[in-house]
Amino acid sequence: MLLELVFALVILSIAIGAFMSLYASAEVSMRHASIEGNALTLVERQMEAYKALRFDDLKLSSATVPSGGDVYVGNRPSSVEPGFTNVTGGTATVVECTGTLDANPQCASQTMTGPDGRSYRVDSYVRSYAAAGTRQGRLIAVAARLVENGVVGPIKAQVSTAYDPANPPS
Amino acid sequence: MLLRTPRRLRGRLSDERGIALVMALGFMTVLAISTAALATLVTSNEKAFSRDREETRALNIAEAGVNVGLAYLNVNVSDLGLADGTLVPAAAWQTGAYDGGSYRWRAVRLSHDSGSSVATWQVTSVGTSPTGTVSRQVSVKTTATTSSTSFSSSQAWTYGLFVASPTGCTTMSGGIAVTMSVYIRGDLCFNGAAGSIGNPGSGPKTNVYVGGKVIISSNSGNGDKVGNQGGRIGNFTSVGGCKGGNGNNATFNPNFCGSGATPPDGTSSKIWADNYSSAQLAIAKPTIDPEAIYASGDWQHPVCSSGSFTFDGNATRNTSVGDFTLMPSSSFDCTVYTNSFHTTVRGRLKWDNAAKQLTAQGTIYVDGNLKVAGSSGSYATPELVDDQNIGATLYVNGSVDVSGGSALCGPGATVSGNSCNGLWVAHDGALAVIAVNAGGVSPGWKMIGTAEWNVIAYVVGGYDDGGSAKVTGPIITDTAVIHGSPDTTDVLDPPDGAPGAAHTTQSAAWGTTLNGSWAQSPVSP
Repeated sequence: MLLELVFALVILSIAIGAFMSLYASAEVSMRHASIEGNALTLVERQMEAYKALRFDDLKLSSATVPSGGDVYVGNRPSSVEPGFTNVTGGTATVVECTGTLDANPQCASQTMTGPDGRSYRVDSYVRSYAAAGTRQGRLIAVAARLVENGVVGPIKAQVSTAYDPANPPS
Repeated sequence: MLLRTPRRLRGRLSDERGIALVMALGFMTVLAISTAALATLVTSNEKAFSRDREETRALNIAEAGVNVGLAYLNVNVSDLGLADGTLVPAAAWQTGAYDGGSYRWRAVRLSHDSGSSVATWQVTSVGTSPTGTVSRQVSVKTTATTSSTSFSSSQAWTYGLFVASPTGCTTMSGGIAVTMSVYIRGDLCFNGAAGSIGNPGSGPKTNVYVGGKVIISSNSGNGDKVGNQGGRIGNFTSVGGCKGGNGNNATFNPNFCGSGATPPDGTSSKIWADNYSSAQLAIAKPTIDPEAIYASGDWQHPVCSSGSFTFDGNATRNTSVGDFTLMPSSSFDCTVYTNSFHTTVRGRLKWDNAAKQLTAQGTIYVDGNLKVAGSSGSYATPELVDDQNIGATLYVNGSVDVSGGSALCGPGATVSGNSCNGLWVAHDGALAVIAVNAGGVSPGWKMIGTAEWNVIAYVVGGYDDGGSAKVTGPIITDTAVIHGSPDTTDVLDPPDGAPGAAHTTQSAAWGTTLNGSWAQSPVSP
């Protein structure tokens, strides 16, 4: 009887241990997915802000572009080419790009609170380009990173698209 | 037996050995099911989020494709002449890569509103996410608006003789009698005995404009040079003026052209006009673009229904044909198309040697020197396409040389020896001959001996006629020496393709995307 009980407890403890381990990893996975989902929401919101602009207004404020040593340059989205140059001319200030709730299309780097209450940094890249046989357009990439304890993490979500002067309509 | 059985069952049920293991297995089963459910939940959540991410990227890549398509249309495609249903690119979707994924786009002309001249196009793009698992299709509509701009013919065509060079002397010598309006940007020099400019036998009076001075040489005789007391011309303008005084005391002043009585007479100046002026009138010589005209036809490969005619010898604009004539001893009928597909006729040239009849249509380019001596004929220039000006334009890459014994008579006139009987009616047909003079010879157009050509002459360089040779249509040239007696047939509306001819150009401009036209749709194959 005792031996049987011991066997049962051993089996149960192994099973419960495995379950707890799985629960922990599920918790991590769900948190990760939650962060990426919120980051994606912020990225889409920023991209929608660009779609509402006239072509000539697709430009960043140079005052809001982080320095070369920042992750803005060092850990840029995969669609942004090395040595890229932003189209600037916007007038937004760093203050206007800090702790806001609304997407500001002139902010090259913008810290904002996500729908989950966490702090994120949304980085935007606006460059000129002309595909072969076409005319000058804009390439836009937006990336969101989680900010924890003041530390900016890796990219959690990114999207990229292109704009022609005919679209969005002026 | 009946009593023993329940007792045995109760005994067995009261024995609890092994129950812990059964319960443990039960718990494990429940835990396993719970674990599997949790794992499935986590996995599906991860998959769902991953798909969300891919869908977002695919959508933005598709929109990038739409914008690449819009840019391509704006730069590479003209809506002019395209039909509804036209696909761009015609053969297959245009593909590209972006943001780790790929896109393909295509545009189609949906409709055209003839009232507003606006065509509607739709640009469709399919974007595929970086993993290739998700594709999304979006489309937008845009417009192309056609507009027309009309240009009236150059004012230079209102003159029978238009000399563009601001320097040098346009010389009139011999016993000439010029009876057409004249525009000379430089000086007008009368040499010889009896040269003069007067009114034609009928029709409007002659007008004369001289941007420089009027110089009458000492051996030019004492006769009137422009008009006469009983036959004043209409308007006379000399910016540089006429000569007053003799020898070292000679000066030039516009007032010397007409002075004295009211209206001023020309007793001293030998110039009689209703109105005298010194106001400058700047009229530019119509420009030509021989390279573009040459490139607009497959001149090396004419299609001849009879005989043969060489328009071009080597597909290079270098006067490869050498000397040629429009009126050879054998007939030909040759058509040149705009390209090797033979869909659009650029020009047609036909010579009927038996009837001595030349037919010219559209625009013709011959990479040679036009040299005619001892042959005559008449010509017609039926329209090549509906609503085109009745007339034809012949570009000669080299020079024009008509060496006497030649008549080329326009509609309304008939050949009589080396001249034309009757009046050429340019309204019924006109041939413009353009001496491109690529070799820069002097003169670019020469007429000597006895010859009359009822054509419009445009010359790069100099025009020189002598004897009784003349061109009876308007002459536009850089410099001129007139020994013959040119008269004129007004051709105020030169043929299409002639320099400075009235024409209408059409252009199509792309607009922005139409508000509310953005749409998603199932992915096209």
